[in-house]
Amino acid sequence: MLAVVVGAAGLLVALLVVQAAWRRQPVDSFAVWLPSQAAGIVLVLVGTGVRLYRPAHRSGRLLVWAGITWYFGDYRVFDNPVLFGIGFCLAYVSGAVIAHLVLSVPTGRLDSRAERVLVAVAYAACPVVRGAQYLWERRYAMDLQSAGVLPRSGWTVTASALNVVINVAFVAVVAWRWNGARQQPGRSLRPLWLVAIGMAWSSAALSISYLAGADRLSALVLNYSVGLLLVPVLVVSGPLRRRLDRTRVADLVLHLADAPGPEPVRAAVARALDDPSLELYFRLGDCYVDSRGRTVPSLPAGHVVTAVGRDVFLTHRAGLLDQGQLVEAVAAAARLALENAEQRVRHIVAMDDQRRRIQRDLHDGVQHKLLAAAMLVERARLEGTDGAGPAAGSLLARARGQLLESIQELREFAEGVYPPALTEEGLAAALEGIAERAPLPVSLAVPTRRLPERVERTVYFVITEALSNVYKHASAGRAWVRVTIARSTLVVEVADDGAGGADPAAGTGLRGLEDRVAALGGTLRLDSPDGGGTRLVAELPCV
Amino acid sequence: MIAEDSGLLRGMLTELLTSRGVQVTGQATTKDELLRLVATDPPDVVILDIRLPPGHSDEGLRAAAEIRTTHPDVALLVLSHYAETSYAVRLLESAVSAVGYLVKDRVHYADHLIDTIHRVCAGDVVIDPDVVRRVMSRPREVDPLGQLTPRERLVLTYMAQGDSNTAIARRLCCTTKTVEGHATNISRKLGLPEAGDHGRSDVNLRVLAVLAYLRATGHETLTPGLRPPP
Repeated sequence: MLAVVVGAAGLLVALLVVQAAWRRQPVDSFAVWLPSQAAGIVLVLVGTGVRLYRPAHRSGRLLVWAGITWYFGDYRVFDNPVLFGIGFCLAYVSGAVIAHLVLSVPTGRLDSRAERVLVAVAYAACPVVRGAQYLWERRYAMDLQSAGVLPRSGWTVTASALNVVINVAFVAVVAWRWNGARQQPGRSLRPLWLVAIGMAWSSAALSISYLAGADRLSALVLNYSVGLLLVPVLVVSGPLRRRLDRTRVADLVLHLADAPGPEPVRAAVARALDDPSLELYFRLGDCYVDSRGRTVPSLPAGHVVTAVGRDVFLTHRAGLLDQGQLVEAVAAAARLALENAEQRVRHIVAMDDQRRRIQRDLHDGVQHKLLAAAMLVERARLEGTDGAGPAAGSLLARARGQLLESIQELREFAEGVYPPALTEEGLAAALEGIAERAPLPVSLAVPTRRLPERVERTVYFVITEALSNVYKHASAGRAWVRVTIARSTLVVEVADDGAGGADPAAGTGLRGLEDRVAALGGTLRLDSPDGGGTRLVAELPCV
Repeated sequence: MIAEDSGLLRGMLTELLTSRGVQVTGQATTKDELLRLVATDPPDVVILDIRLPPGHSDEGLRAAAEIRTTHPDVALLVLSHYAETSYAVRLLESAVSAVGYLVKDRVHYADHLIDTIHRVCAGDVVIDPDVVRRVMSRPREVDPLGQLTPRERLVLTYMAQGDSNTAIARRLCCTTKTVEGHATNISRKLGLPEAGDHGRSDVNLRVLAVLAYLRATGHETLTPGLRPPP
């Protein structure tokens, strides 16, 4: 509502001023007059539109103010002394508003100290110098209300020189940002910056011409006015771009819905933000772990850090700050997906610890007791069963047999729960054991070199789960297992010559494997054409 | 001397061995304790669990290797819960002779245990039949063991278990000469290095060669493309 009132009032005043100036001063050239008079009206209209339809976009208010202040200088055409005073003192304040606007796009804030100082000086310069001049030479100034260009004096020279300095500083600040945005989405701001630099040049050139006594200024005024007409268009293309970005966030949410772990989340976020260098870090004690499980002592320098969760951080290019809202939305989506994935990883780790504990309990407790019982039974049998019934000997032998069978079964069960050789002997040895017990020929090609424990465990369980699927469902005659390490990627392949047609969605086994692999930042792929065998490929980053 | 962290089993073993006239000179529950005991009073043979505190992983194997370095005369018998070939191979790599690898549940069978202890003390290599059976019976696409006669298969099994030709001959009730003939045939058919059993280290080498061969035959059928033909 306020936006409408301010906009309508601004528009009305603008039209009044244009009409009054039209009557007061003859128009030399419509080509110069029209853009310069229209620019403020366009600014007010566009700014009001932005305030109404894109309230989150903070540039709307500045656009309206730039439009309203643009006509301040023309207030001098009014006979009213107050309006003349405003017109005289604030004639050039619109330039400061434009500088503020350009530098605050797209976040709506002035992010660096240099920008804040520059804008503050720009705002203060015109009212202070012209105000002082107004108080000092009031009568003289009043006489000139219709003359257009002021005669040179100490005041006007100061004001012009100050204007040159401010414009040069403005160009420097924009150039600095331009340079910082070399490979960033911030590049989309370059047209706006170019136009702003052109306007600054026109403004500074006007002052220099004035100082030099030249009077062919209309070309520069035209330049400035055309620039002013372009500014709202270029600023508004920001909100439009943001709307496109919203669809990217929506896309991201869809992708993240089934991202099983940190690495897929990182990849989806990097895509959404169009920043391949984007990385995801988890704080672990006093170091950080990236999405592929690599540990670094500190977050990399030269990147901007955005917190996703309490101990989760995105590092990305500085230029992404231009898309503050987008980054925030993406971070929120990523947070949800990560919490989801983290839950599953925790679950896996807890499950493995539990497996190991169960295996050890079986080993140290039950198996020993059974073995001791078997030894006792054997001794009883050997020491003779005189006095007992005739069947006692054979009963004891049967008891021993039962006990041994139980021990054997328990041992096999314990081996399945958690492979004893994996930790001590490594992947190759543990898989050897699997192949020895397999019901069909399993060809192994597994490097003997040791890998990090989590990697070995994951690879082992991926292979055993895949093989148990082969035994159960594939009606295969043989199976192949291959583990290769190329550069920093470990590839696990399990293939069979069975019926194929495996449905990845069926059963929970594959999903469990996916979670396991994803927990290490890897991916899983199933290829199972009907009648063409099944092939499972897992890729893991491994350092 | 016994190293075993389960008090129950340690007690049972001590009782069993004592009743069979084997003197138990010391009992240890951890690797460090065992190494200390061996250093102060080296026994004829150490029976040790593959898993010992504190790590409960492969302390037994590492203790065995250390004892072999510091006290080469002490025979070693490692007890394992699992018939893992890789453990057996690692043990044989660190100890050339007077060394045994038994699956733990075999100790209930007193005669076998005592026999193994005596053989190990005498310098033999003993590998648990379960380990050998497992590695022999592994499913293979092209099973080179199929070329062997049942008799040769049996000889190979005993070879893998660490038996000398004489011992095999005794078990098969035939002459040493016959066993040597089988061994030559096996070596020829499987392409194993010709290995006699002259001296103990040869027996060890033969066991290692046979085990390595049996384990390796799982891989050779691997096609480069991996993908089976449709």
